Amino acid sequence: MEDSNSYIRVSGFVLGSLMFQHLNSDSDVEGLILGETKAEERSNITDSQIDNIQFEHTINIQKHISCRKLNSFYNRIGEVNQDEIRHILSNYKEENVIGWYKQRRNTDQQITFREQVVHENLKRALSNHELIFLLLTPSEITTSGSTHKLEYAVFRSHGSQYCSVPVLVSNLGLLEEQDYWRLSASCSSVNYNHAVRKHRSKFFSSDGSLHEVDEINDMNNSLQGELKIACKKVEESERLVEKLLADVSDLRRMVNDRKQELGEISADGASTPAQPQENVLLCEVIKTLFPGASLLQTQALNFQGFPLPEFCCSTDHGIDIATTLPLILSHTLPKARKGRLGRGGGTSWRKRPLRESSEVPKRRKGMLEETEESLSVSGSETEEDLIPANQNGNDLDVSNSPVF
Amino acid sequence: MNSMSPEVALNRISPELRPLLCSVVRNGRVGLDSTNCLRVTDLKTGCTSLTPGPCCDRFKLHIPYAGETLKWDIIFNARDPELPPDFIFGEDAEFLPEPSELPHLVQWDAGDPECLLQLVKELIQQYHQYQCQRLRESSRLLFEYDSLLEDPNYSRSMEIYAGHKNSWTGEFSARFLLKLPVDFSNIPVYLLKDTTLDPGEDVALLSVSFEDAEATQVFPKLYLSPSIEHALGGSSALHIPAFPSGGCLIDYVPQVCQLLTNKVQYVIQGYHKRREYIAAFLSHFGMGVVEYDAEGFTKLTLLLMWKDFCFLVHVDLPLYFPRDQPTLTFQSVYHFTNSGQLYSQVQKSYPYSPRWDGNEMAKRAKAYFKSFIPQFQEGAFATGKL
Repeated sequence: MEDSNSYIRVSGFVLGSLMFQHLNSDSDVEGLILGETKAEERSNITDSQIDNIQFEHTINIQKHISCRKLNSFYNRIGEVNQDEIRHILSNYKEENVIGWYKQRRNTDQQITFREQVVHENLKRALSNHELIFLLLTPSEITTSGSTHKLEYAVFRSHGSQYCSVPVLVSNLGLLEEQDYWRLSASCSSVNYNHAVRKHRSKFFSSDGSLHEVDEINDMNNSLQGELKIACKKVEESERLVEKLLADVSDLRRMVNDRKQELGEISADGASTPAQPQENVLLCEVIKTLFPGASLLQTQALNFQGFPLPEFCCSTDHGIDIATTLPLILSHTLPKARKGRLGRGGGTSWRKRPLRESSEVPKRRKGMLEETEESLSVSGSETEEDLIPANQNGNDLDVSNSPVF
Repeated sequence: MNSMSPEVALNRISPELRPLLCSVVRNGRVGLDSTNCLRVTDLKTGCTSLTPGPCCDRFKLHIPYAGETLKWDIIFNARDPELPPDFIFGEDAEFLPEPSELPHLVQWDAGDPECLLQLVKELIQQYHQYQCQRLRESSRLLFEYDSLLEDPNYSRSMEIYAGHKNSWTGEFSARFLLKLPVDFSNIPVYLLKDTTLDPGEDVALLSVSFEDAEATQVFPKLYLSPSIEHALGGSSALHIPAFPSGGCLIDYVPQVCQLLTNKVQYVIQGYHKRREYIAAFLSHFGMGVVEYDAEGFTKLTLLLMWKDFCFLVHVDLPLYFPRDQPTLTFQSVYHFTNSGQLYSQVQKSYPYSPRWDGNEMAKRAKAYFKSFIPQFQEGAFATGKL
């Protein structure tokens, strides 16, 4: 499938200079337009079709030459005078003429009878079937004359019909261009071309390609290689994660099955509605580690978040902490361990402020000697010693933050 | 669209271009429908807004053509008034006349006030050719055109407007405007109430609209110039027949033409008959004639006496006399009605024949007067009051 698109490209300063030159003229004006034409064929391959060919025909307007008076290069019936055209062009070549323009004040944006005749004759005279006609029509918008508008359009003939061609004005910031330019901007300046030719060999090789292109290609290849290695590693780790996730799922399924079995067994004889399960292990541990701390043993909090001592669990769950959770007792202080194993000692611990430090160093030293291998200092411990609360008989001095 | 009078347009146009526009707005009659001059609107200037006026040099020209109104832009340049104008042909963007076949463009003379008008007429001629070419989109309509072209009565007096093809329905329409070759020269001179108005040329135009290319929906309409319309008895006096299904213009147009011709002949004969009638009454009643219509011969008033009883007789002759009988109104000169009017009686039925000549009608009328007056007198004395 083939598509054909035609565009007119003109830089902002070329169009602006043309408009500025003629906007204040006291009559209709006309002139010739110079530039060049480029045709490009692009082949896009998409998922749906493999041969989508687009022809882009771009006409670049580079310069304008105004005529000193109307009807200077044609007569009353639109016949073109080629000598007069050459005179107007002076040093420029006829091949550079890509069209002509006219500014008509207060008229419609429509090509006139004579303009059509002149256009056809000019096409024949210049042997250019792609000749364009730029029409500018300034007009007043308000009756007070405070606001004027200048409309412009480019026309090209297809047989007897004239259709408008889209105009792209290239300003400093080319807002509509999203891709890289595939062709360099055209410029007819002699000095520009001279400067480029002088330094060209530093950038381009003999075949016209840039020197750095090969180097960049090599770097690109290296990057591709590294990318491949990284991708391989990612793939391997992803597979490992997948396997682990599968294992976890299996274990969870097994746990759920076991729970269901236990639940079925207990449901056979139970007639009471389901109650929240008590964490009996936690309950026994707290009782062991903090025998007198009722605040720690409670299972209920009030609306302000304070524990309610009257909801402590008083049930003996018959769990031997030393055998069930030996690590809990191994991490406690030796004195504390001895107190716990006695069960019912009711000894609870609290921190003693530093002002009682006269007794602390000895006790601490003793404690440290016994537990230096197994004791680990936690971040929540402070310089204050841990002393049994019943030593001063004041439970209110116990810290509100439980420390395990 | 800002329609403006010719004087306003002439005041705003650039002075160098004024003579050209003057001939267009004052004498510009083009085409078959030349009852009105060409109209100018949307006068604008190509100069800057700071240029002091009058400096307008471009405008829209409204041209009647085949029942449509063409709106063409005409563009001059006030700074170069010697240059010929340029044109934009409105919606007919495809109309491109051959410039070498426009003599007044090739030999444009800005000093000749008639140059622009003549150029417009030449463009209209080429526009007509362009419309005729467009009829080729329908073989049926092309046949209608070709058949009329062969008849010298209509070939030179025909305007065709081929509408644009409806891109949705695919329908193609066209309108034929024909000037009917009917001789109106013998119709009595018509006096307009406003004598400053020029009634224009006496012309009858037949417009036939084909709403589809196969001629299944055809709508004819007859347009008459004001004098003709008045002479024939108004717009409702003449009804043309409907376009026959499956018919063609070459048969229908002569039919309408004949109908109109007959009507005109009838009106002319009626005028002559009325004149003859009045002349006979003048001859028979001599000094008894009080007054009569010397233009249209439609009225006559007699003052008569019978046995010392004077009375007036008003005779009203209808448009289609002698087919329609004249109305006699007897009026007493002595008696009044209760409303203060003179006592009168109208007689529409009395011995009459349209085949009598004027002399016979006068004699018969005289005899009728004698037989009716006693009865009228009795009624006047009985009903009226002095």
